[in-house]
Amino acid sequence: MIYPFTEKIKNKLFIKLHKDLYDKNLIEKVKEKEADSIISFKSKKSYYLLELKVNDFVDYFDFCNYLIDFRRNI
Amino acid sequence: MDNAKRGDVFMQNIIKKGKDWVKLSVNQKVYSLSTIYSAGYVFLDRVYIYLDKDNKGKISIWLYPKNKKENLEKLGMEFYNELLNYAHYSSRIKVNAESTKMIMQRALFSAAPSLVHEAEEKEIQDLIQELEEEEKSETKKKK
Repeated sequence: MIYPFTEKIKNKLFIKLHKDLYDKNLIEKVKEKEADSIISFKSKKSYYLLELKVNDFVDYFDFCNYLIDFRRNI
Repeated sequence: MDNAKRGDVFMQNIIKKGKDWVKLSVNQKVYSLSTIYSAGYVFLDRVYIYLDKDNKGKISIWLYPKNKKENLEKLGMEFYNELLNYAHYSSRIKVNAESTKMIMQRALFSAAPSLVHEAEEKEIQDLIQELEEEEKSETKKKK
């Protein structure tokens, strides 16, 4: 199932976040707080790519919402 | 084109929907990113939200309802209303900022009148310092 927020690179699934919409400061803070859930982080063109440790695909959706919620609380 | 068809075309331009998603397209010149985040926060219980940018620079707001029975079109329109609500709220805050500051100052000063004296003292000190610095720079120029 293809969703706009995912990108597959060499059998790894990443969540992609546009740099203009999800700022680096926010992602850095999420990385610190959720260090166990984020396997890797990289930058590609206009996007940040995050590889997440997930049990279910719904975890990707939850992460999108988590970012909205987290931004409000920082 | 009759009104109903015109309405359909209008809806297709602002709301795109799929089987389990609805995508809104907004101009960041109209709705700031913080307005979009604020509106999104209100909907977190009902939808999963993902933000992206299209090739025209518009922000795409993808909404995936948690309840599959949600009316997607209605959901999209409700989100647009929430955007308008927060955009209005932000603009009112900017417009009222000066008045709010004055009211707060008056409230503080009436609760503690000594603060008025302190504020005046501080203002005088700042002015004196400013004048002294101006004098110094003028003397340097003359030399």
